[in-house]
Amino acid sequence: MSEAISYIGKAAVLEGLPEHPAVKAVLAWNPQAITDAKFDRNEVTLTIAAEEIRAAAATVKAAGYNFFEDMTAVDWFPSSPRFQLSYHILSHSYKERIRLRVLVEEADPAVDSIVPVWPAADYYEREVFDLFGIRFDGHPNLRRIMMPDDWVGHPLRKDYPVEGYR
Amino acid sequence: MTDVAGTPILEVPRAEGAHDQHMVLNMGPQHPATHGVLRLVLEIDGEIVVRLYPEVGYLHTGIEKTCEAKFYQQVVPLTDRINYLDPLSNNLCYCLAVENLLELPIPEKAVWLTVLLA
Repeated sequence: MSEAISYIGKAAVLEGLPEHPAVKAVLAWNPQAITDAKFDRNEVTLTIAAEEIRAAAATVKAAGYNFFEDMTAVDWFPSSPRFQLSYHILSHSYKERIRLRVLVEEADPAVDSIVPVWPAADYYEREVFDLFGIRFDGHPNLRRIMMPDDWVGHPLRKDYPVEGYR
Repeated sequence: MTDVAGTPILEVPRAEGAHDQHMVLNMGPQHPATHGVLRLVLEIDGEIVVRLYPEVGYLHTGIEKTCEAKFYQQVVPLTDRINYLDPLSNNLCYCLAVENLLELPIPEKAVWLTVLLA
């Protein structure tokens, strides 16, 4: 297990996995869109520039990564950029997953919605909006999903207390 | 009207003006079929559901937030309670993630137990 291959950084991944279908497709579309990359524990992670996520999602979808599995967010408080969005996408034909990662700044956190590419992202983006307070531009129905509509605050942020009063 | 294969479906004769309006029906969260976990706002035309707005979140207790203040081992009882019909598969997901993250060597017996249980 300790002998597993890992490539850390964009240059290492591009050199180590030149034939990977998702890496190839994103490179053919726009090499500048990848800001960072990682291949670790058999998982490919591509960090995409925030404004390019919808186009990147469409690109990997066209490259055979047909199934939007999950998306969630990470709060790296107090680092900057504070938020990270992780999109987990599965390809049934390649039998593997990739992760698209987007970093979002704390001030005015908003990215483009990928609902036009995968309608299944609708509820996931609502959940991230509800619990992390990241807005998704172009989402058809961006309302709270878990918490009551009149709730104040976004519970999964790291500066939101686990117990006691807000 | 036809079904997906194109076969005509026998139309039920309707009274004049029956199409004028749809009925909005709330189903749950207290409805026995949803047993408190889900509310469905149905827009129905007779027996046909025209539109459906699901309202989830009634069972959301913030387990993921609770986990923030726990050690790795302390999370297992919480993932156990995510789904009371199939608790071990959520435990397996969580444990695989932690094992992979920490690169823990797993004894063969434990691997076989996960195959049997989850």
